[in-house]
Amino acid sequence: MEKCFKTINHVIDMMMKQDERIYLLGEDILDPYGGAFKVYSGLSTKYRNRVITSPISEQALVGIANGMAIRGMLPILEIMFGDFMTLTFDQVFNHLVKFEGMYDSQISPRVIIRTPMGGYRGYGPTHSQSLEKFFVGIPNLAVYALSHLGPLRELLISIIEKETRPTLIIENKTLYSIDNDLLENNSYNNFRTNVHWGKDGSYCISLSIYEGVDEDFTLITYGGVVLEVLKAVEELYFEHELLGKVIILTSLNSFDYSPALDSLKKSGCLITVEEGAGFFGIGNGIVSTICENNFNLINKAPLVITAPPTFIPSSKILEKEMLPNKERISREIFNHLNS
Amino acid sequence: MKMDNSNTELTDLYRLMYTIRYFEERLLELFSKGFLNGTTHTYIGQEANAVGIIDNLIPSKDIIFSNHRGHGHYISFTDDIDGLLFEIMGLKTGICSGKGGSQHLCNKNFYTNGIQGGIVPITVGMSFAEKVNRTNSVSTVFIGDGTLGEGVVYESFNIASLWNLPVLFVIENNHYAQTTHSSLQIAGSISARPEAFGIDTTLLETTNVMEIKFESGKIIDTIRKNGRPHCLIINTYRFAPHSKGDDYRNSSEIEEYKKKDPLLVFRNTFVDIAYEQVHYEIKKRINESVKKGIQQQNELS
Repeated sequence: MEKCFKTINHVIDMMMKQDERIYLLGEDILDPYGGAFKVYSGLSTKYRNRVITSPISEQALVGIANGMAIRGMLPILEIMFGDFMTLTFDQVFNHLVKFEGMYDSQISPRVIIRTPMGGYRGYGPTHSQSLEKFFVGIPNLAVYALSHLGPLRELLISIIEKETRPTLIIENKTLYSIDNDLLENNSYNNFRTNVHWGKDGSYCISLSIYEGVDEDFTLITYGGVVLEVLKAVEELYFEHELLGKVIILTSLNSFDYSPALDSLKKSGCLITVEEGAGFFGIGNGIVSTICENNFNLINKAPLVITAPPTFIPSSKILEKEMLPNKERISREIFNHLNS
Repeated sequence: MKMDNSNTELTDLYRLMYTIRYFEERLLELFSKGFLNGTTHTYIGQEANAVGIIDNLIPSKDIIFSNHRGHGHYISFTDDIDGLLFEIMGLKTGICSGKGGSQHLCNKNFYTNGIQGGIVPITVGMSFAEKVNRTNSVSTVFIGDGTLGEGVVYESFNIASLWNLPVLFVIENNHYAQTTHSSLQIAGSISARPEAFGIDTTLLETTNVMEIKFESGKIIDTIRKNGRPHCLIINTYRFAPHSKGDDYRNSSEIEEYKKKDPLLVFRNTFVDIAYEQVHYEIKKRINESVKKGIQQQNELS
């Protein structure tokens, strides 16, 4: 097993060797630093002219990547912290994703933007956020959220080789230094696991501690908060005998719902957990979509667990209280199932 | 000043300018008569800029990214009246099948978009790809005085200079951003802006298409030779509103500038050309396109 940031690094290395169109852009990405989270470590030494460090100009950086892509290159662009994605919004929304449609498919530029979201490290209000909800709604933008579980390597290769739309890959700071567990023997800690590849090229993982009875709830989640979710689900099972099936997504806007729907047929109880701020967030979108199309499977009001819709404080204690943690997730699900 | 007109038919330069002029005038007329919907931003008065600069470019390899006021650049680069007119009319026979309209054009190496400033880093990125692919091409982006308010313009100047990219930044300073005079928009000096980033900058104040062609030709040759970016600032003036009905400028100011109308300047300089015939042919061509377009619109309804 290797740490997630190393997996990403190795895949990009391999793809750059195979495909000369791939160029890396970002801030502070040259060796020996290799990027703030070391994802590009070693690559500027190996691929000199194809790893380009940029001034601190996120808007221009995406614009430049857009131009490179229009003229046939495949730029993979690192935005150092997910919080800085706000500076890229115009170039992504009013340029990159619109060119193909408004120019009637005369061009089809593809840029891959990678960025780490996530808190729990005391970095404070502008360096800890999970802002993916603002990008998931953008038409013609593929949004992926990497997981430390499952075939991470295959997912990245699939995105780079096969995805045709402009792409945003949401990574997670905490997950970078955690091992990518390939779920050999279909198990992970106390969970039985199953990997399901959707037609869109992303996979989701179903995890369940016990498969002998119908689950009490179906919990859809993704990204870094999975670490807290799994601890909470274990506690709910071992201390309260409440059984949950957890479904971890890797695509946020075009995933295959069938594993979730199969589980809902048994539980009728839909729960989502995300690290981002609530109110019109990812969970709201998932719940709404499932309710609109499969209302007959829902027996109980869905529960959407998020961080509260406010800023993330810097103090370690305050941050831990605010972001979804094992205790709060467990408590909210317990209260919900007993209401 | 030596005029090198041995390579280009003089008449062709005038033809292009007049084509743009008549096309834009007919567009405004079609709008007022209800044949067109949406908005448009005409290039009337600025024709010499597009025609003069773009005459030095090679459409098969050079790239242009233009803005909301892009019809003059489009016609100069492609001479495609039908594709542009039908696009503005929202027809499937338009260059983007009617999906982009006036401000969102694409035709091979020609692109436009309607967000001020956003087109500049994209052009820089394109020039990077062209440099890597050794096409020896020049990527030109057209912006206005108003665009200088957008920060991404300066991010792009910085990077184009830092990375040695073959970009031509053209600032058409017509002194007004929509209805706001540049004295309420721009502090300091315009030319000092690209110069601050180490970009060689040329300032032109003329409506003489030959002079613009000659000066920009030198610049474009230099960019091809040394691969460095360059900025060309042209002080100019538009005779028509920003879009439609939004013109609060002093009519005496407009009249003063009209005395230097690039078409008038040309006619007074080169008196031996049969202008009536040229005008007649161009009007005929454009009128026929308009007729075709209206017919297609009628067939749809």
